[in-house]
Amino acid sequence: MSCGRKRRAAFTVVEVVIAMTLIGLVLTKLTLVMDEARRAHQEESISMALDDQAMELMDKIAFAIVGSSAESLDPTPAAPFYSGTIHYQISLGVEDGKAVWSDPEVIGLTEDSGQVYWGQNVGAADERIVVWANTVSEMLEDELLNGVDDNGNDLADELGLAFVLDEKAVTIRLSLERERDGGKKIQVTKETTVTCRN
Amino acid sequence: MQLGKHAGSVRTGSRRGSALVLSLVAVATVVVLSASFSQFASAVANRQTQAVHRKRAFYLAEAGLSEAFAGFSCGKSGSVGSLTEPARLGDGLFWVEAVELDEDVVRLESTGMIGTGSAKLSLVVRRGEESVAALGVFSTGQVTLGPGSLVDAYDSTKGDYTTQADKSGAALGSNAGISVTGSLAEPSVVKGDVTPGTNQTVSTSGSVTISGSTSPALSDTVLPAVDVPVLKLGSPQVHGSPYPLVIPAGGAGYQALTVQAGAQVIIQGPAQVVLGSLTLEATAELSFDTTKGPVELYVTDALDLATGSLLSSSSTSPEDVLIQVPGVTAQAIELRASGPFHGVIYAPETPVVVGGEFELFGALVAQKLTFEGASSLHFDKHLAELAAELALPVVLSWRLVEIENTSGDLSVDPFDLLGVVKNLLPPPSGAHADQTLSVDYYDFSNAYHRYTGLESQFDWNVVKSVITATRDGEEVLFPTSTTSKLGTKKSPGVAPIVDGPMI
Repeated sequence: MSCGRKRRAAFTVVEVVIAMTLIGLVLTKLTLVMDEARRAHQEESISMALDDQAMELMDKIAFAIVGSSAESLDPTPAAPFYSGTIHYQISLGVEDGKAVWSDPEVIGLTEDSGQVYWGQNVGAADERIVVWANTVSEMLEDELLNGVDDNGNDLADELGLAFVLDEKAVTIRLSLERERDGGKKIQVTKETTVTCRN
Repeated sequence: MQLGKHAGSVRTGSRRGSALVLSLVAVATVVVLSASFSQFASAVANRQTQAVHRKRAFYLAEAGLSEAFAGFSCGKSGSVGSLTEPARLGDGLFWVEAVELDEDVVRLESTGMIGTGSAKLSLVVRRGEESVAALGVFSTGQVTLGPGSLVDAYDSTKGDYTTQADKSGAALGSNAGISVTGSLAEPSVVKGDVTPGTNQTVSTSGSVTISGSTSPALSDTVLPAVDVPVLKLGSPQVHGSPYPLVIPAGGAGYQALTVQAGAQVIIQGPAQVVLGSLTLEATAELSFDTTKGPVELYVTDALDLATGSLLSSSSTSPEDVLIQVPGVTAQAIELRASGPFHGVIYAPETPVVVGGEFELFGALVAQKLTFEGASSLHFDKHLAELAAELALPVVLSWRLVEIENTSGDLSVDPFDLLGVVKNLLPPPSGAHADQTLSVDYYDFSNAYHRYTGLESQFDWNVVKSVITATRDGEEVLFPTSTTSKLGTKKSPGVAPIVDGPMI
């Protein structure tokens, strides 16, 4: 009898169920944590990349405008008005005692595609257009298309790229935007003021 | 049993191993994510640091331009430091090269470097213009004031002349002698300094009052030539119609213009008008309408304003009307018209005779000046302020030449890159190019000194006040001075102590 009732070391069904449940919980939690870490990584990476891109784009715009003459700027919107496009001419030096100006240049926003472009002689045969970025928000951060100033910057319904003029100073506001997995939008906003040196 | 137990413990060990593998996978995933994020963050930080270096280099280059421009404004060359010995500012450096492009036009090119950033900016400036209006009433030849003459001053920005109590500050000067005559019935009065030429004197007879100094000038004043605009001159005009002849705004010229008795000519500003000769007969009138801009009138051959004629302007700001006679005329310019006239009259090579009824608010500069009778000249002190502004350089062009990073390695140092020792570099104020300085000044014991030599060997700390100074022959302006240059510089009346090199 004692040989026939030989005991084998093993888990009971209850033990196995509890163990499996615990393992399942741990794995689920682990998966959630890993996924959260991946999302955080992605969000932070996108945010940093956008910040980097916005800073570079802002510098590009500022350094392009800084050499212009305030008289050459067009349009000349003063707050609460703004423009998503600015035409300007920069000084190239002096010849025969008179300042020499560049061909007309423009920096603007293509609203439907969110592109910021720089152009020279736009509309002429020797037109040049370069796209500087294509991740510009439809509206500036925290702004809604409702006719009021939602983000408290004295402008109403401003686009993702907005120029405001105050005598020789041009204030540039820029919001870049990208979607991460899951559809969440990440926005980065920059603002700077450039004084036209000519 | 032992074996069975042993076998059981082996199986238990296997389960522990699988948990380890799971843990390792989790840890490895986190490590990979962290590492990639860290690398990405590092790359972004690197790029942003480089962008910051570029901006700081831009501001350093702007600081260089400001230093050069400030120096240029007070007679320095505009060169500050060089590639081999730049100026040190904070953790960065800059140098500015000045290149003469044209007469009085200079390009200042400033390079700033800090960290990996490098920026080059260019500024083209034109030297300031010399204005004679600050001289007041001046002539290179003899000045003669007849009985009843009045020379005083006012400030056109402070309201009407009659409402101003302080009429002092007039400037009457000459490179030659000055003679003032008065009588008991018609005393002559000068409310300010009378400055004859070097080694010349002021002679007075009769009832004459001079409120200021009569000591001579330190040096002769050279009057700049007049640049006449090139305009096509129309045929001579004689205007005698009862309706006014209007010369509209813009550029116009006639070989001669005679305005007959009772007729009127109106010149509308902004305008430049060139006339071969201008004659106003008795009761004729020449009016300047400056409501829309100033008028510059050039008369090349003869200017005769007969007694009883009228010269007038719509504005009470003398700077709005400038009458210039560039060369020598066959006869002296005769200003016998009735006033009051607000304007500036400049005839550096022609004698001017001022009639007894003429009253001028502004300034008058001529080759020789004779006041026939009880004429009045009220010098506008505001003209001296305008002259000081005109003397400052004008910016013609500003340009961003280039902005870049010299290296991707953030540890790069511009001092190492240029092979210079940071602590041995001069500060911006000490990096200006050396020049020949000529300065007359008073020291702190009020002794009069003169120094001529390299500026690097001159100690400015010994100077209490400057009488006059030039750098490489260019007059040194002191833009921070609270008083405008007015009239001619007076001689201290004693021989100067001649200084040698001090440093």
